[in-house]
Amino acid sequence: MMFSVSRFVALGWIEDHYIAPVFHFKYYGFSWVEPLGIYGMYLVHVLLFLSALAIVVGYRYRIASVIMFLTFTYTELIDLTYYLNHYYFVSLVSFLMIFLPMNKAVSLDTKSGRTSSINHIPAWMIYSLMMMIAIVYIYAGLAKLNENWMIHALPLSIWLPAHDKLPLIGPLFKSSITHYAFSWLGMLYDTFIIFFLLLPRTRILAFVSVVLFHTMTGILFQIGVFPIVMICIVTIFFSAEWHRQFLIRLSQWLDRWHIPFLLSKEVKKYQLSRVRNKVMQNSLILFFVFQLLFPLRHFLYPGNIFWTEQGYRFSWRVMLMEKSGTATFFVKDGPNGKEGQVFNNEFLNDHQEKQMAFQPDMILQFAHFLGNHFKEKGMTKPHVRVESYVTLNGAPSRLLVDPQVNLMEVKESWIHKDWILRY
Amino acid sequence: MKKFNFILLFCFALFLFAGLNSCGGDDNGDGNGNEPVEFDRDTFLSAYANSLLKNRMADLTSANNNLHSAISTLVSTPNAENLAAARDNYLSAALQWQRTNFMNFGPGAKEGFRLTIFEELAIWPLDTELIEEKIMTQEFAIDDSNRETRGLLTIEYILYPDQSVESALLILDQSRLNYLLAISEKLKNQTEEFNEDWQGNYPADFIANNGTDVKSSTSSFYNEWLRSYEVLKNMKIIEPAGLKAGQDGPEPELVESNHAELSLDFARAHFDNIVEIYFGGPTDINSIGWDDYLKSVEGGEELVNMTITQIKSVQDAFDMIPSSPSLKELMEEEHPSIEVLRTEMQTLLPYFKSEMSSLLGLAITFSSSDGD
Repeated sequence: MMFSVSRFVALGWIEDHYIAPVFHFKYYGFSWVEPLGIYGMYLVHVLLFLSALAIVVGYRYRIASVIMFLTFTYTELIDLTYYLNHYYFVSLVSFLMIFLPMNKAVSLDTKSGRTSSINHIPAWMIYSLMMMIAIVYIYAGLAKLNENWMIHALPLSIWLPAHDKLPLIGPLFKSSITHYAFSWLGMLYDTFIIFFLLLPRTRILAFVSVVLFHTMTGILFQIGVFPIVMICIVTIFFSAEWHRQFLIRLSQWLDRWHIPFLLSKEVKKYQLSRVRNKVMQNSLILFFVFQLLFPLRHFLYPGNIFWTEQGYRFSWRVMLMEKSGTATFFVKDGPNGKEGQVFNNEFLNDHQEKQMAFQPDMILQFAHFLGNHFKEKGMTKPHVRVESYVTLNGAPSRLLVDPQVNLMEVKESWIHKDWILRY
Repeated sequence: MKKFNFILLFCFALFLFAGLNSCGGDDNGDGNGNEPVEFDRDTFLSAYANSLLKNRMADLTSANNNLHSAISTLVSTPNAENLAAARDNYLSAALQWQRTNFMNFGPGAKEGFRLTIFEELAIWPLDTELIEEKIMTQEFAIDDSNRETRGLLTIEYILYPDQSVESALLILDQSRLNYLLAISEKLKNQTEEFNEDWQGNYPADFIANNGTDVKSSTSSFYNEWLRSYEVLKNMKIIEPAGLKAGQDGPEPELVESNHAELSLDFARAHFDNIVEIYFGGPTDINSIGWDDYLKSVEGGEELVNMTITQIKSVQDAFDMIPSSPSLKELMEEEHPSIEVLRTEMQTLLPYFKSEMSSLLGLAITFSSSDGD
């Protein structure tokens, strides 16, 4: 997290993502979330960095974990166009971390006596993290079981040839065999890696494949810190003994630098009252029931999920399609007014425009923004329509949205968007 | 034993993978006889850098040098012949500019206080009030941030106070000539600076940066070419014609060539250049270009054919626009041919914008961010 925040600031993304845009796309139900202005956003990132640092050293862990969850989730809720599966994953894990006693082994909190040191915790605490990781991988694997991925090796047959200049392996990416191999191996990896991580006999090999897989995807695709996050977090699957040995070696290494790092040798168990234990376990069950069901909500909508994207987000559909669009908005005052074309770049940055152009809910949000904008400019009853040509997995463009529909008359909701044209 | 099994399994997997690849090395066709052709991005970048882009910048430098020479002659001897010569040189430079104005990457990209080549050399609309103030006070502040008071189109503003050479000469007093000379020298120097990098090490760097990520030459080049097409469509046609949302009517004073009334020629030259860049050179010469790159991927041939058809429709729409009166006047009278042109240009956009980038796996934007 500390690395991620530093990278975010160094790349100038605070200004680019939060400050510069005239308009921010909102998450359903979170339209009240607004950026705080330049100083406010820097302050949020400083807090995020410091809370992550506090968690690392175990200083006032509980407060730090709450701050990290809130500040990180806040930054993600500001603009929907920056939604990433791995950001969502980090938000969920940081939420779980609030309830896990991660400061109770080696930390400043134990050293100062703020909390007692332990070396045993209830198994469900470990399982909750494992479960979260399992949901991500297995859903990501199952989502790959579709015709384009398995039969046509799409979108990898589009993406991989673009990397043909990579040293050593680059030339392989021109071959269709590579595209199919990556597609099938990717599906098999995502679906089954958890089971190999769970089995002690295959764990090391599985971990090596995790490292190789995520290093490869990190090299090929612009996915930020996601590979590092996943490589580090799957170590939760290693045994308690493995972690103990790791800590002993770390302790010995730090000792050379005269940094105290005390490990308790006697067995001290984490004590939770029966009521608290029950409440937490039941809350976790509810949390995971939601996590298991929510990604499946797309079954409730008609049409091709890759086209309509109804139920696409928050369902671990990672790197699954190549989709791009060109959306042109037209505004007129009343049904008989003179129609004019909108220059999207006057309101959106390149990234926002790119994401909006093929995602119906964002198209609708932007249409409403435009309608309200032109109302403020003096139009009495703005009509907004869009011609959005979208290409899916390299197929010729088609209209995504009915270009005759006045989007100002359409309200955002969870029900099926019948103004999306069929694929 | 376990270790041995693992090594054996690993070697077998590696062997199988390598073997399958060697068998299928050339098999990236779609099996229906419409086979994608082999394509090398190094050759592609090299062809563009050495045969096209480098020469474009050299030609612009030469045109702007000639313009400055002609203006120097005019300033030293203001007469009809020298004004006509300066105007001819302006036309050559402005047309050459239409062939270069997309090169806002590499040396033409924003760097520190220096903006892109497009903003530095020929931004519009002009701030005529400030230009007049500078002329009146003879305080040119030639390096200030008001780029809309200098550049090619400000030269046009001063050279064309009136279409008639004789009438214009009456208006071109010494203070105007002084400013004209100062800004033409600035233009010449700036162009030489951009050109220096293009004639120096930059082409080699351009070719070496042969990936497809956001900062790669291919993506930067593509993005700026696409942006140039959008500038042509939006700024040169839609906005002055009053076809933009929120406009009450035409705003013909927003045309590119508001004083020389050469806007249609400029727009056509701009579009011809967009097409030339797409094909890697003039269409009658077989040169490597984006069309060849597209044909190397599945579905690319179909896209190229659709694009060619739509390019022809845009060219036809341009041909339908009367050459007289000027584009500015046609926009004023809301001539229907302008809207036809807009529609055809808009139809072409998705081919260039979403389909092309999607098929080639290019990053469509400069604004980098993570994805998953």
